[in-house]
Amino acid sequence: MDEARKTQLEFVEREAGNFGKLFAWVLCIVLPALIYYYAPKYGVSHEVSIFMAIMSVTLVMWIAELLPDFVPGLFAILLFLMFGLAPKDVIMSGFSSDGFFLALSVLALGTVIQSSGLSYRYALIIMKRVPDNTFWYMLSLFFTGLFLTPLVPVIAGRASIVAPVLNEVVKHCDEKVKQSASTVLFASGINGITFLSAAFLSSTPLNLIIYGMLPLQEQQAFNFIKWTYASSVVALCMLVLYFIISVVYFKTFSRLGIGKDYINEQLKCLGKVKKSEWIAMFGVIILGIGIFTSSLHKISIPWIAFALLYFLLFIGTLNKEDFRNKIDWPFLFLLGSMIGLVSTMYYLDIDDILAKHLNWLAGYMSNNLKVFILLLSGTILLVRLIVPMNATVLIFAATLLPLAAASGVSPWLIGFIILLMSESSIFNYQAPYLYSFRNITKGTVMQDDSRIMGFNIILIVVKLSAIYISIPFWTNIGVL
Amino acid sequence: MRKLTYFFSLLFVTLVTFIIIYFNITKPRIMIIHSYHPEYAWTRDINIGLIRVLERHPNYSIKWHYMDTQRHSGKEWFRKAGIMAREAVDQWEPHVLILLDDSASELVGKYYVNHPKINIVFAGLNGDYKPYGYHTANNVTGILEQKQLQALKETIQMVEIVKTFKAHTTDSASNAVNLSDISNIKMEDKHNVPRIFYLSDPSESLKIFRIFMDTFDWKPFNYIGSYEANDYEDWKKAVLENADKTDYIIVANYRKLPKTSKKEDENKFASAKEVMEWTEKNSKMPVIGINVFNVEDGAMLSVGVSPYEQGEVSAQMAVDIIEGIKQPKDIPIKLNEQFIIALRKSIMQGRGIELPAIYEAFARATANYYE
Repeated sequence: MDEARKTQLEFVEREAGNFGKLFAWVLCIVLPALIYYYAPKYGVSHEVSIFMAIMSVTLVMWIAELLPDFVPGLFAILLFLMFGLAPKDVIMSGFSSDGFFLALSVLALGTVIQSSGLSYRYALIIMKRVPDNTFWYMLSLFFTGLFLTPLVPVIAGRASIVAPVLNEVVKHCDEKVKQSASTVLFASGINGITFLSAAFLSSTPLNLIIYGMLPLQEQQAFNFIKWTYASSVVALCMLVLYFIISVVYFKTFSRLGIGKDYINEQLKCLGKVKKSEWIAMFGVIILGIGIFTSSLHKISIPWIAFALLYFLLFIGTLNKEDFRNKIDWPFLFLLGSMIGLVSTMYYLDIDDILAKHLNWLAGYMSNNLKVFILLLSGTILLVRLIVPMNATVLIFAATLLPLAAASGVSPWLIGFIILLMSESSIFNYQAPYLYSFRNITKGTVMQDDSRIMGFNIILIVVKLSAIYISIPFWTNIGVL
Repeated sequence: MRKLTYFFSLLFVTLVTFIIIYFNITKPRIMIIHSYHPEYAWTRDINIGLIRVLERHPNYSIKWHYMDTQRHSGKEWFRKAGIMAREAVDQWEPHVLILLDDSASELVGKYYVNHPKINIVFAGLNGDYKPYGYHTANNVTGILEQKQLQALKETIQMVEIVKTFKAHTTDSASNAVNLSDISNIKMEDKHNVPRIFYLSDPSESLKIFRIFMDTFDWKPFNYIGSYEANDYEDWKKAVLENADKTDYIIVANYRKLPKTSKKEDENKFASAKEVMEWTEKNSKMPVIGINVFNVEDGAMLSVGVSPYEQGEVSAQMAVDIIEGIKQPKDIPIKLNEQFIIALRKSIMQGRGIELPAIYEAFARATANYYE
């Protein structure tokens, strides 16, 4: 492609983007006005009309990505306060909730784990011990990502740990097998950090948002252990199916001819385990012990995590600068806003209104869950073709979690399915959070993107199958 | 010096950690399990009673759990709600479990009878507590909820007395009224004795209550019987068909009234507000409730068990157990004593019904007065 044509294409793309944004801003003005004018004519109360008008603007901003995610959330909260739609403590409840402090603490611990170098050291040690075969490298890359999933609560953070390891593996491969091994190793690396994100409460900020949006009782029930336990059958099925399909689909397993010298060099560079790594390890162990012994000490898990944050600040492992710069404050503001938004919905009885107007959907949810799962998953996959992952999760969760609560279906289950399906992506553009992974491996790992795309489509079927297989288990443990 | 500073800072953290853990382990824990959902007026008002007592003990750790068996029903929901509630109890191991209404005892309470660490205080039990094994338990006490039928009868008597009094003042300009007039209302003429009819939904708890209604001594009134409506349409039919056969319709609850008679709709209930508003609008005769929330739903008048008393008494029993003042087996099971009046002035005026001012004052004082 010549330079002129490339420039021309970029210009067209930019113009199309600009037009889309212009259209979205026009919608931000027209839509709330129309809703505010017409909603009362359909028997909607004054307060609910205002709520709907505000939400319409927020949704447009999210879908069209007019502003960073947390800004529309704060916009909604601000207007709720200005219009007095609910008492201040209801609207601002997200900022004092257990979910907020849990998210803050988990993010802080994740920052320490990542910045201390502990996670990178772990990845190198694993690679050092792996037998020299594509299959074993595939397994270890996948499990390295999986091991980091509950510990590093941001996908991009996990990508920044696993991608360099993948680079090194591919770089030191025998030239003859490099091309063929690249695709399977790339798929393992990228799926290791994302595939089972929904199975652990602390693996992505979105999980913490869903947790924060659950009714209080459900939050108490689905803490770290129960969340993982309830999703364990899905996770196990997905894991087994993943490896079976990987073997069948890629069929390129052979000796890689990797020497271990480069790993030894890297480990030598890292030197002895640093104090900050010990503290990170200590933090993980203490949090683990705290979670598993919660029935003995009776301290709520969010407060254990918060105490750990205090400890990290106290001993200076997380200093003032890190606390200010490395914690994802925009996400925390988004979380606080989302919880406040849902609380306001409950306060205005919008859950009942939703249940009444989406009666058919509530009917499927409570009477024919299997069909509902298919409908929900299909809709999410379609929506995800044009709407970013965060906006998709926020919109579906804000609508369906209150509806689930009103219909007698576990809001956790609906939230879990939303998370699991929203995380699926077929095309690269659907997963911008994996750009860093692709950028780091670009030029070194020569994966076949069309094969990866085909594999992604199969993984969607795997996820759906795992959900259906898990239904008897959920019935048995009282989730269903 | 640096090492010493480091040592003391670590000592400080360790001490704080141990103090926090010790404090949390020994902190009194109460778990309140409601059979229904928090927005339900009965539940909401019980909570007011509970808080009145428990807020005096800020050192207690309190957890609330709602089983939501009013809005959702069916075997499956009960099974699921039971598992979740018992899991929450096992996880938290409260010192006292306060169980409100029958479902909580059925799905949770009976599993903890004679538990070595968990004590049970029940409230809001309509019928017998033996089915839950409480009669043989040494870790259970509580307060029963018996509908205030005597108070209801006296209120209807008062309505009749005022009516008679007004008729006397119009006819003879006499201001005197004999409070025993009601017992003499032309008892010899059966047609003029006010007639009472009880209408209910098909829920299990109301089936038990119906027996109380049918066997209660309604004299001097003429209790013409009761009817259990199968669904909302059946309810409407019963209200319209009994229009000329009764003078008062008594209702307790209608939250388990299926919308239609279709099999697939058996768990889809008509809105309580809609039912009560329709009943009040279409009934020729005054509708009187025996739950405080009936008036909130749209009824004219109700004489109900005090939810505040249920909350206060059960919370006080829990406090006595935690403070070691009494063992559950030493606290006798109580019967409710208080009742609450709720009234809706506009409907009373519309029907030309009056009551002494004290009724209105009482309803206002308990925030159960509606214009």
